[in-house]
Amino acid sequence: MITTVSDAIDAFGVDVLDHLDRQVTIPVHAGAQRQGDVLVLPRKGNAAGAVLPQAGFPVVRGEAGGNTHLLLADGPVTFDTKPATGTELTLGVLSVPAGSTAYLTHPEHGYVGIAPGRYVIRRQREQADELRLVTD
Amino acid sequence: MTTKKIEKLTADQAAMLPKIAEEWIATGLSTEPADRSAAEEGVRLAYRAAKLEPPPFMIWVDSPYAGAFAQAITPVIISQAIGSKPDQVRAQVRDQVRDQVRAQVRAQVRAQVRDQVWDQVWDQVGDQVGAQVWAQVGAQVWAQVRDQVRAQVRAQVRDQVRAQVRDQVWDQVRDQVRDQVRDQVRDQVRDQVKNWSTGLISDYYGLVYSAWFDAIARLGAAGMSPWNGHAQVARNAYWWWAFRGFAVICERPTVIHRDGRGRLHDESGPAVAWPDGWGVHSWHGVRVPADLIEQGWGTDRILKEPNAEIRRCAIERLGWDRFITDARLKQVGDTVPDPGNPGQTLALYDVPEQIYDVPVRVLLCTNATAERDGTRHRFGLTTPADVPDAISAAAWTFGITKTQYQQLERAC
Repeated sequence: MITTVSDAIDAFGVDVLDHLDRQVTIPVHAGAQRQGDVLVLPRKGNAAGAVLPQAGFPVVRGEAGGNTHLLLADGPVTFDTKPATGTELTLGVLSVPAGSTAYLTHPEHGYVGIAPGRYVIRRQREQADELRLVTD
Repeated sequence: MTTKKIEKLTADQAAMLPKIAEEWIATGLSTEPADRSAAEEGVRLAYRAAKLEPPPFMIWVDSPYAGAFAQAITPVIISQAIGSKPDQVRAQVRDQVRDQVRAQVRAQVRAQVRDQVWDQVWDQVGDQVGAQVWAQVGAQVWAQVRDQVRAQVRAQVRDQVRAQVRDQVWDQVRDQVRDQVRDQVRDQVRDQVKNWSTGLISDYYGLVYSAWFDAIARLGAAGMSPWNGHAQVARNAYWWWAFRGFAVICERPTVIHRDGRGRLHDESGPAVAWPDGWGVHSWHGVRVPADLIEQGWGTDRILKEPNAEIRRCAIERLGWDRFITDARLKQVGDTVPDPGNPGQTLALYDVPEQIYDVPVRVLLCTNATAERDGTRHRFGLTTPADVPDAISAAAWTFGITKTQYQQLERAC
């Protein structure tokens, strides 16, 4: 049973920076939530088809291979990935069946819990000289 | 040839390609010292494959910039040492040798393989191996280094030579001949300088072809061996340049730093540097002046910078929160609570058009998660100039509506 950040680290083997509180309960939300430059937004539509691998899926890779936003599953969660471009911010669609929880983790941001439901995962953009995607 | 023609890749073969690409990308990004004897042996093999006498002189340089000059100086030094006229050594016909050593060998390999490997497979391997290596190493690192060498050669040599030649010619010829002579001289100087500065930094595709041809060979095609010399140089050194009578070989860089998207990036020093200290400073793939990275620019210096892209990098290096205050940017609307991020706020500012080259606003945000020292990182995100308020600006960054953003339950 995953309740705290510490539980999640034990369950997934994915650590966060040591100054983050490990005993804090990971809030699990069914609504819109944000982890840095990644947004989880509820959506209507078909369930995703591809089972999320045990090792998780890096929805956004951070600098130098670290600081990745990693999507993890406690239960048969599915995720269909779709590459982001300058204008298409969708990273993929996520389905969390009843009784399951999905997590997004990032070393600097800790863990985000995602309740059963269907979501789209989006990333952030900026208006630079041309549109560009945000990397944190 | 008894080998069956490869018409389609098996699943195993296709799975092998990304691994081969990775191997060569790692080679291309290596900061280990070059294996000089292995690289020199590779050079000799490459000359022999081109049916040329291996060069008696192998000149090692400690950066591509040094390489640019070594190529011009080496014939003179060699001629002094061996007591011949520089012209005899210099008449190596640079392009001819380069074409023989590289392009002809490449064509030879391609011709060998044509009846063993279907064109589609050849192209597929090119896409999945060659193009990957190019994207990761060539486009991100080499292209930047090439541009830097070109810019420095141009600034330090070419423009002066051109100006002096122009002045001398113009002073010496009378009006009636001036027009005829001027254009010819100008064109010749331009062509020669162009040939020189293009040639001296154009031999950086070796790794890409080496990766591609290595993959073809590992699929079982025979006849790839003429490229072995090139591959051996690529595995053991960095750029090199072929001339009749001598070769110039460059050491590997000592530092290569990149961001998460593979772009050259370092926030405190050169993003790529060589043993002689020459290097390239880069902010997320944009080449910038060294002092922007090493010391950082203040707002006054930033506002004086004519290049908008460099200005943008400098603002990011300084931090938007500082810049907003120092440059006295005008706030748009009120500072408002950041939905899902209790205690933190969002504020929107106008960025004058002369600062950015496109009209933008900047949204000043604060991280929901505290840093190790308890402070919170503040950062600016640029948005189109027509977003009306801070929440709309935040919503725009994710491409969602203002209402959707207002309903955020949590941010971290």
